Amino acid sequence: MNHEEVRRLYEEQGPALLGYACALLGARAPAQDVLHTVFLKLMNEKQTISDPVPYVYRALRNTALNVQRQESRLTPLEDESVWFEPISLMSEVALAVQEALRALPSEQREVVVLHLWSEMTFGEIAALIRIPSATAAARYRYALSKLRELLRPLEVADERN
Amino acid sequence: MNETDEKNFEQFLRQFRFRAPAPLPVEKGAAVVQWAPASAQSVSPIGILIADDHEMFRAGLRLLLETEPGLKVIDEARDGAEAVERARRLKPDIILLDLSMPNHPGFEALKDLGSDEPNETRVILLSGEVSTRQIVEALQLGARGVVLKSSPTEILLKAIKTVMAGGYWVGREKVANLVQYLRDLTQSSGEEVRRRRYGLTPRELEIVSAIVAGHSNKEIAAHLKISQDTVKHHLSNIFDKTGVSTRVELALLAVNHKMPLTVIV
Repeated sequence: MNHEEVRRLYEEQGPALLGYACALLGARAPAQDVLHTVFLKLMNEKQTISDPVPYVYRALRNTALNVQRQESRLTPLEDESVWFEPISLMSEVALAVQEALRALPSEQREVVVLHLWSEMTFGEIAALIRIPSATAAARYRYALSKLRELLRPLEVADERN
Repeated sequence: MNETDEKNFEQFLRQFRFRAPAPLPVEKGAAVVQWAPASAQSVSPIGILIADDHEMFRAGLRLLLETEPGLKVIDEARDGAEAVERARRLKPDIILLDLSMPNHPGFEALKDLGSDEPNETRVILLSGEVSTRQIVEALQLGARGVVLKSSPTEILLKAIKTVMAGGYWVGREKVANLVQYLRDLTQSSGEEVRRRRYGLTPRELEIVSAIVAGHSNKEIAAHLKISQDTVKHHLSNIFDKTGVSTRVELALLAVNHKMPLTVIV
């Protein structure tokens, strides 16, 4: 890939990839480091990459898992940096969504982020993580249900008033 | 969770967008030198003048901007008058102009700069808060961008790049068609407004405004001098008309779809 292609890929996929790296690592700072590592390697990659989006997701996952293994003694990461872009009047809700995501088991968080924010089908997720498609779908349902439960107090904080 | 609930909840979650990552670090090795954004590849960097009466804000912004390849802060100004004087003398590419400075505030400076001919300097207004009327006025006076001070750095950088490329930027987005944008902002009647109202009555819009302002049912009841049961009844009708099922979703819908809300303190 030439540098212009890599730059365009970074601009188009950067936020979703960073979200995925956050889901894998639980914190934004190391997630961004991993993302940069992957793209800097990609710039020096001599081989032709026919389908760069799945390639970069796989590379990101492998790199993140390597980092996680090397630094497992440091977990859990207490990173407070904000994952989502602020929405007017909703910054507290965005933080609550972030915390709810972080509270999920990592394998569920990974699937829910890939499906909702990277807009991958369960088949694509299955191919990336190497699990059966039905398992990806089941993890997603569990995750969604747990997120709903964790975020319910926000929705109805007032109904008792 | 039934299917409709699930879809609504998914939609609610998708409203939140992951923040964009920082630009890739530019390494000294030959391989990455070409990575620098187009603006940094030009012969000279984008010269920026920061005009704000708060010294710490200016210093912080200078630090942020100077870490970005292709940008150079050429000077600072403490008020609008200084900004105009330095802009005329130094001819920066961009002025980041605070809207509310004590002497000669942003709009006055904007008017002065707008009358200069020829004028290659592009002005981006920075503000803690800004009304629709002020946005319209700023764009009409020649500002090329309006950015809230609470915005993430990435937004300001995107605004600078967009404006340097000849575009306009307001809030969190690039404005593709200025005339249409101004028409949308100033339009106070017609189909679009009716659609944005979702068939809500003026009273229901008052309730939505109060929800967006973060008030509880109890507070809304006291404010509108009605019972809490009546508030709940209105809310139930609002949920039916808009198709949302929670206060949070309602607030997001109202903000994102620019419902004609009233200001509730």
